[in-house]
Amino acid sequence: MRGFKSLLLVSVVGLVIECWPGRSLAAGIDSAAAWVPQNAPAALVVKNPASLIEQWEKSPLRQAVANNPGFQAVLNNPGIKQADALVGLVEVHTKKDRWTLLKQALGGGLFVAALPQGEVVVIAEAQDGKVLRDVHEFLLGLAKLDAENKGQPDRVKSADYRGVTAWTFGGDEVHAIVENRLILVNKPELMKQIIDRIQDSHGGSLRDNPKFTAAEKATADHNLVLYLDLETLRALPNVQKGLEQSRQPLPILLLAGTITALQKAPWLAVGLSIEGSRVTGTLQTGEVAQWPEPLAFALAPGKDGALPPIHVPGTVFTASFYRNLRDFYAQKNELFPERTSGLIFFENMMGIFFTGRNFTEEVLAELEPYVRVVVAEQRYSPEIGTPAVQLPAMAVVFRMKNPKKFQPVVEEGFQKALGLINFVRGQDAKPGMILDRPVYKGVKYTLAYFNPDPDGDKEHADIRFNFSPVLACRDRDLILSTAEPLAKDILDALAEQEAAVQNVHKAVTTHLELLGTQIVRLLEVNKGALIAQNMAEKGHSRERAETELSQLLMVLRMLNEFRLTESFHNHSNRWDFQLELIKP
Amino acid sequence: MTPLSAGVYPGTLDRELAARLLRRAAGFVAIEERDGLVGLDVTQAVARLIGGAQAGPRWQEIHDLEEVSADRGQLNGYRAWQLARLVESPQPFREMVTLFWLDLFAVSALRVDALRLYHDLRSGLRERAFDSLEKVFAFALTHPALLLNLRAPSNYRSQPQQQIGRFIVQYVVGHDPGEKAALVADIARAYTGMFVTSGRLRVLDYEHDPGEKTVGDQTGDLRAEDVARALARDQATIENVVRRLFGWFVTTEVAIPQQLLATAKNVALDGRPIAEVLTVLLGWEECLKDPRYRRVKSPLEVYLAVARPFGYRATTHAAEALAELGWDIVHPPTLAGWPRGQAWLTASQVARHLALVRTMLSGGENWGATSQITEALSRPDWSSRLVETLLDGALSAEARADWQKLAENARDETAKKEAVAFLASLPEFQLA
Repeated sequence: MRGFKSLLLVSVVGLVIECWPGRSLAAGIDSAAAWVPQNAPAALVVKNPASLIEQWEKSPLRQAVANNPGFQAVLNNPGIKQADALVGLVEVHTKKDRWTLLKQALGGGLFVAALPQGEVVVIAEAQDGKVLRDVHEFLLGLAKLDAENKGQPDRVKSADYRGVTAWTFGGDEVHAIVENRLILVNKPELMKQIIDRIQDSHGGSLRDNPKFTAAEKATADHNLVLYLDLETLRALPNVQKGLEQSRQPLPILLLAGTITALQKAPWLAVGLSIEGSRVTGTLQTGEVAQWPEPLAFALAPGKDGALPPIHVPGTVFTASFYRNLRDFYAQKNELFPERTSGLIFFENMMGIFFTGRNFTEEVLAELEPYVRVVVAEQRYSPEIGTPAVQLPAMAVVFRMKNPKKFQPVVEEGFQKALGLINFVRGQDAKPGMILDRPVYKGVKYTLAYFNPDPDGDKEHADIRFNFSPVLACRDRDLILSTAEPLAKDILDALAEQEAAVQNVHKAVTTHLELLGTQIVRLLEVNKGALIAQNMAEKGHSRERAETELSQLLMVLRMLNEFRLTESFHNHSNRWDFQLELIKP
Repeated sequence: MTPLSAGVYPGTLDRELAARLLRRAAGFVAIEERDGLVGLDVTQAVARLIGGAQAGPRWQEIHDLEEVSADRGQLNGYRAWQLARLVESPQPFREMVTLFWLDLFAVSALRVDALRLYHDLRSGLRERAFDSLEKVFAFALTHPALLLNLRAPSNYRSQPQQQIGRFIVQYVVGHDPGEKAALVADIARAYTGMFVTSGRLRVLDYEHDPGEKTVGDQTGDLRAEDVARALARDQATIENVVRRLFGWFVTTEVAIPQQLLATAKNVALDGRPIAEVLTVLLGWEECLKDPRYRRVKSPLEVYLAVARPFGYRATTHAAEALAELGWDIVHPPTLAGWPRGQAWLTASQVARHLALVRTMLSGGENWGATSQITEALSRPDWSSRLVETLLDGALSAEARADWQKLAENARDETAKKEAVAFLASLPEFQLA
C-alpha cells in the first residue's frame, strides 16, 4: 500500500510538475529518445498530449464511458478514490481544474519506454511551470507528512548525482527534474544511466537505434506513436507461443501478411492522430527480407491489388481482399497441418458439391484472387413479414477466370448444397426451400426460398425467412448471397462499377469498411432479442439489460464509419485506418 | 387431503426436520422458506410447498421469456429460463416434481428437437405435476414429444415401433423388456396410427392396428390413451413410479422400507393425487429422522444449494456449466433419465462440484450473482446460518474446530466466501 501511495504521489507529480523557467527544449519530446538506452524493446511517444486531452475533455465518448457501470465500478476502487482525492487536493492548491493541470504538465509531450529487465522510464515534458513548482513542493510535503505519520521519516528522500537532484517517495521509484522534464524510473540504477546520458551526450541511445528511427519515420505524421522491437519481443516465451498458435485456416487467410510480419519483421510501429471527429492511424512493420513461400498467396504482385469494395443500400460491412485461394489451399499442409473437425467437414462437403473434381486445381484455380464480401441490412417482402430476429444478409463475390467453363460447375455444386439442406430439413420435418431461376436485368440466377407461412405471425416471422440463397453470375463475377434482395443490389452495384472505371487498388490486399449507423439500426430492430439475451446471459433484470444496451447503442451511435486497408510496400506490411465519429 | 397415514411423522416440524423436508422437496434450504415450515405437520408443510409463495413481476417476465425462446427455438436461452424456474420459482417443489416426470419419461429437448413441442410437454407436466397418475400418464404417454424423443414420429400399422414398447416396459413399468416381449409388441401396436408432422400429432385411423392387445388389466383394441390408463392402474407400474419417486426425493442409497412402499402404492392405486404419495414419501417418520436416508447431491442440487439461498439468478453460463457437469436441465442423457446416487460420488465429480461452488462465489455477472450474497454474509449470525443453509445436520467433530477458526478469522467478504467453500468441501455437503 505504501509503495502504491508513493507511486500515486509521483504520478500526480508527473501530471503537474513544473519546468525550470527559460530552459525549454525546442526539439520536442522526440529528443527524449537520446536519454533512453538503445535496447528498449517498447516505447510510447505522445507528441502533443495537450491536443489529445482537449479532444478527450470535449468528447461525448468521455461522458458515455463515465456512465458505464463497469467504469464506475473501477472508479469505486479504493486506490482510484484515493488518487481522485489527491488530485482534488492539487486542484484546490493550484486553483486550476484537472484538465488544465494535465495540459500544463503534459503539454510538451510524453515518452514512455520499457527495457528488457523490466525497467520502465517515463519522461513527461511540461508546458507551464509557475504553479507546478508549488505543486511539486506541495506533494513532496504531503509525502513527507505521510511518511512521518507512519513512523518512516526516511522514506521520502533525495540525492544528488552529477548535479541533478533525484527524489524517491518510497520503494524503487526514483524521479528527477531535468530542464522542463520529469524523469520517472522504477530502478535507481536506470536513473544514473539516464543522467550520464544527458550529461555526456554519448551514443548508444534509442535515438541511434536504426529500428526506432525507421519506425519514427513511418509514423512521422502521427501524434501518438508506439514502437515495438519485434526481434526482442519474439524471444519472450509467451509471445513465441502465441505466434505459434495462430494456425487456423480463417485467421491465416485473412491475416497472413500480419502474421508473417509479426513472425519475421524487425520492428512494428503504430501511429495515431485525432483531428476533430476523425481518428486516423497507421500500423507498419519493418521490412521482411524473405517472404515465406506458403504465405505468398496474400501478396499482390506488381501493379495488382484488391478491387474496389462494393457498396449497396443498407451496407453494414464491405470488404475487398486480394487472396490467391488456389495457392492458399494448395499450401494447407504447411499452413494449418492440424486436421480439425471443421476442416474435415469442409472437405467432405466440397467433395460432395464438386464431385469428381480436384477442389484445388479444378475449383479454386478457376477463381481470380479478387474476393469481395458485403454484409447489408435485410429487406423483407410483405407476404413473408418481418422475422422476430432480423439477421443481416451476407454475400461473397468472386471473379472467375473462365465463366463459361466454371459457371455450370458452381451451379451444380450450389444446387446440390440446397438439395442437401432441404433433405436434412425434411428429415427434421421442417419446411424446405423451393428452387427457382428468375431473371433480373438480364441476369438469370438461381434462387431458393421458403414459401410464406399463410397462418404465421407476420410481425414475428420465423428466423428462416432471413434466408433466400442466390447464386448469380454476371460476366466474370460470381455472387453467392444469403438473400435475394442483396444479390440484386450487388448486380446493380457491379453494373455501376463497370460503368465507372474499375481499377484495382495497387498493392492493397485488404480493404474493409464498417458503418456504425447501420450496426445501430440492426441492434435497434433486434432490441427485444438482445435484451432477452442479456437477461439470460447475465441474470440481469429487464431494466438493467435495457440500460446496458442503451449505453452500447449510445457509444455505437457516435461511430460513423471505420475504414481499414492493408498494403505491402518494399517488403513491409502496413495497415491504415480511419475512424469517423459523428459530431455531437 | 386425507388423514395422515400410519408411519408418517405425526408431530410438528422443528427447524432440523423442516430443513430436511425442504431440502428433499426443492433441493435447497433458504432460511426464510424453512422457517415458514417450522411448527407445521407434514401434511401442512407439503401443502405449503405445493402452494408456494406469491409470484412477483420478475416471475412473469421469466415465464414470458421462456415462451419466446421456445417459440423461436433458442435452446440456450430456454435452458437458462428452465434453470431460472428452479432458482427463482415461487413453487420450487412443483419444478422439482416436473423434473421428476421428465426423468421418468426421459424426454430430452435435444432428442425431441422441436423446442415448442418439448416446451408444451414440459409445461403440461408442470401443470399436472401433483395430479393423479392417470392424468399424468394420459398426458405424457400420448404426447407427440414423447414419440419424437423415442425416434418414433411415424407409426405405420405395418411397422409398429418396438422402441416405444421397450421404453415403456423397461422404464415406466419397470420390467425387463426381453422377458415381456408380448407386452412390448402390444404397446407398440397400440401406438400405430400416430404420426408427428410439422410439430403436430395426427392420428390416421386407417394406419391403426385394430387387433387385440393386452396391457395391465385391459384387453381389446387399445390405443395409446388406453395404454396410459391401464398403466396408471397397474401394480408393477405404480411400484416402479413409487420407487423412482423415493429415489428422486429421498435416496437411492437405501432401499425403500416395505411398509412405506405398500402405503405409497395404496395411495396411488386408489387414484389419489401424486401430492398425497409425496406427502407419505417425504413425511415417513423413519426416513425423515434417520440420517441414513440421504441422497447424493447431483450437480443441479449443488448449484441450487448455493444459488437459491444466496439470491443468484440463472444464466446461460450457469446452465451450460451444469450441462458440462452432466446435468443438462433439458436433456436427460439416456432413456434411463439423469444419472443419480453414487454416480455423482466419484472423486473427480466431487472435485468438480467444489470447483462449481468456488466459481459461483468468485464468478462475475455471468454467474448471476446479486447483492444478496453480500447481505447474507454481512449478518451478525452469518456463520450459523451458513451451516444451516448448506449442511443437513450439525458439523462433524473433526470439521467443527476448523470451521470455528475459519469463521472467527473471516473479516471480509472474500474470507467469508472462503468459509462457504470450506463447507462445500465437506462430505456432509455432498448429501441432501
